Amino acid sequence: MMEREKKIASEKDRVFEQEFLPQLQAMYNFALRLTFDEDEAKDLVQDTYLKAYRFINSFQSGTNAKAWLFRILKNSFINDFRKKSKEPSKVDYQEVETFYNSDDVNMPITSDLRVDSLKDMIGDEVSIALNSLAVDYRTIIILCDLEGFTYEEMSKILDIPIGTVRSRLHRARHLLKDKLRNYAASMGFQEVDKE
Amino acid sequence: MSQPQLEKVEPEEQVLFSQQVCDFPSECVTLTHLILDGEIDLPKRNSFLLHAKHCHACHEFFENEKAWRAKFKREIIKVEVPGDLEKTIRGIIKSH
Repeated sequence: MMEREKKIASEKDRVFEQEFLPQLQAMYNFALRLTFDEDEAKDLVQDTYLKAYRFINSFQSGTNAKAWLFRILKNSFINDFRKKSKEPSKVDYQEVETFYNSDDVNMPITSDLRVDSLKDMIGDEVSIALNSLAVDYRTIIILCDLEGFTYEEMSKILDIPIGTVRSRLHRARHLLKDKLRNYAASMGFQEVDKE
Repeated sequence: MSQPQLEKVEPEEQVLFSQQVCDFPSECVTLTHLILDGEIDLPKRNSFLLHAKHCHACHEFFENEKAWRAKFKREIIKVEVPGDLEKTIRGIIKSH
């Protein structure tokens, strides 16, 4: 009996090491694009990995670990992190006190950490345009155009029918194209479609 | 996912599309997206690519869209994973 339990535990560890952990880069990238905050992204990824480990028995080894993990991450974001982000923002009184005691009164009184971390993350017009999309549109673009998931995989990750995947993707690309119209033209991309 | 090439289309493949120049219907736009997403069956894909070899508007749109997607992917910055994250996760799992 002990031998069997040991075998199960070592198989769990193997799956975790060989199938789950290699997805860390993609998971963190996705989390950061959802939350726009490095600490929240780290929490979200940690939470996802913990849930994945807890429910590792329901994962079939050799199937699509990345899609499975993305689904957990997306659900965690919707259930926990979106709720948190709707809470009123907190004032850092230490920062306010420091400001009033400092000589430089022209300095902005408070800094928005979300905006600050976003500034570090984005480096070009494409990222800015992507980040400005509503979360559902941003998500589908990331899943399809960055991570290369199939429509079927996206349908499972997002819990929506394939038809909705197609229409949402179409809408998201259209919105992105609108935002990047001038930039694309300046890069030599001609507008030839009639959408 | 390998990017489809217009020149690889064999002329004898099943033709579902007219090889004539089209008035660039929305169906061609949709097919371009489906091909680049890898979400279409082979005969229809090849048939469209064959059509696009003869149709200037579709050819332009296809090539433009393909180039744009490649550029889009390149320009999205993949952020570095914080060095301590993997270690933290291993710690959490170990203590679980």
